[in-house]
Amino acid sequence: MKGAEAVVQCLLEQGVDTIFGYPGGMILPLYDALYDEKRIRQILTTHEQNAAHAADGYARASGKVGVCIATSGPGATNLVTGLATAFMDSIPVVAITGQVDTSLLGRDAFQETDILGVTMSVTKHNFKVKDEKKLLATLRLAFSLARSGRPGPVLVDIPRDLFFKDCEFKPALPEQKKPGKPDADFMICAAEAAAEIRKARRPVIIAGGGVISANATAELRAFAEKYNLPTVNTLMGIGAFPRSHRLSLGLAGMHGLKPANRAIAEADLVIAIGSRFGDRPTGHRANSAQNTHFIHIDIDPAEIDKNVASSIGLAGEMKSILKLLMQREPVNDLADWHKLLAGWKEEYAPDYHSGSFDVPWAMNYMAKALANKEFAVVTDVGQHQMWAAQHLRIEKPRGWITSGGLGTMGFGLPAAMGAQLAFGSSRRVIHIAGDGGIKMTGNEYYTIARLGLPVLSIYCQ
Amino acid sequence: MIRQLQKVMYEERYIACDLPYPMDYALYVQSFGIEAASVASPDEFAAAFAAALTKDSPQVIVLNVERSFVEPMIKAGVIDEFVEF
Repeated sequence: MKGAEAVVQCLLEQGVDTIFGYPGGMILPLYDALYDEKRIRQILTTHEQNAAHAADGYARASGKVGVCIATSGPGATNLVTGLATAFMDSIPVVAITGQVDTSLLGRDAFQETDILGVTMSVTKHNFKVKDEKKLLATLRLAFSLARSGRPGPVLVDIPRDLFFKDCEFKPALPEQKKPGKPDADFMICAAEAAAEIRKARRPVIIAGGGVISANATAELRAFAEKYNLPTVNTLMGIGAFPRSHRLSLGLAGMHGLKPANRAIAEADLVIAIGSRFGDRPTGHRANSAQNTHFIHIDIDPAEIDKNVASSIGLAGEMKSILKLLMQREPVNDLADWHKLLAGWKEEYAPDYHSGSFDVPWAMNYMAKALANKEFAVVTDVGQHQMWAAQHLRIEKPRGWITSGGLGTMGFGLPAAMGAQLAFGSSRRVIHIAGDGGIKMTGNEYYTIARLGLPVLSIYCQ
Repeated sequence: MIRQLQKVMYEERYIACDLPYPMDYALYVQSFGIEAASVASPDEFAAAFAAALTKDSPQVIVLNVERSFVEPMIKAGVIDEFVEF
């Protein structure tokens, strides 16, 4: 079969059911191959940036790899902000870009751009295919890289002529990477970590987005309950731990709730789980002179000791690590610590009864109105995002979708569209935005209206 | 948010964040055929939100709220010291 048809077969094999994109000359052969393929929904966006954000929103909502396609040159460069957004938040996305014919490469052909060079630092990996014999293996590797280990975006650049070359398609099951067995050093660290947890007097968990991408929310909850550990969440970690839980202290960080931030400041043991100790959640906590111990649990060994010199680092698959740490029994008495935290919760409880019509009031109202409903919140970036993070009550993983690391204004609306397509009728998407983000990517309302997607937008202006 | 940073760090020298030229966001989304409500009080919002939840189509609610600042906000680099507004 032709290269373009083989690419479509490969997408099907990888479980792809939805593609976001915008056509152009160099990607047209792939669009042509999608013409007869009814098992893949092809969503035409109004701009390539929105296609990338929509694929990202789809991935965050579904846990699957999001896919976007674009043509060479401006189509490809328009994806960059979306890829950078997914990269900073470790979201699995595969972007396929058309490229000028192999015979024209490097000759400044019409709509030629070195998209490999451009996206090198904002993708987990990227490829340019120059030989049709390597087309399918490259694409399969791209999906495997995007979803394995610490997830992230991967770009595959395909010159137009390869779509017309004969390609042999042999079906293959998607590769599932299995985590390796922990070695002796790891087991020693885990035992030390369990000992730290059992002797701590003022422990606190920082739950990050890594808990959600590892599908480890049940294990986190069991771990926190077993050792009676108060839990704060980062902006990306909203939904990793149920907000209504007695151990939840809510958002920590630059605009974190005071009980959550004070808990980090006063803690003698900070257990960061799936969080990279970003500067915003921890307020450069590493520079503080206090004698705090740290345990850092993350899928990515490169994060251990990067931002905080951790006392104990445990890199690996999160579910297994949490189960391992739960093998001991709690011995420490945390009554005084919990009494202190309860006092802060009461002292700093927000006042929603001031009588004024403000955003915190509206967020609290929505939190109550949405309780027990199936919904997911997708935000843009700015004040509304922080108010939503503080005052909404998200109980479930994938119920909160936001651009955390890159802070991309304009992310909200196209991501809400992608999320709503992933959720179908299982969850209603509540999109919260400020007026600025709407001016950036509001054009995507055209697609939302065309598809009749029940996205409910709340603007704070 | 820019306004908030300019208040805290730039002596309230507000630039590139005040937009005196208005835009009608409800009218904007209505041009796509999307239903929109513009609300300015708790009661109006409650009614619009309840109505929007019952519909299986795109909905927009524009909140006309007083400008304010996101609190708490920590001082640079210190997690338990907060900016006073």
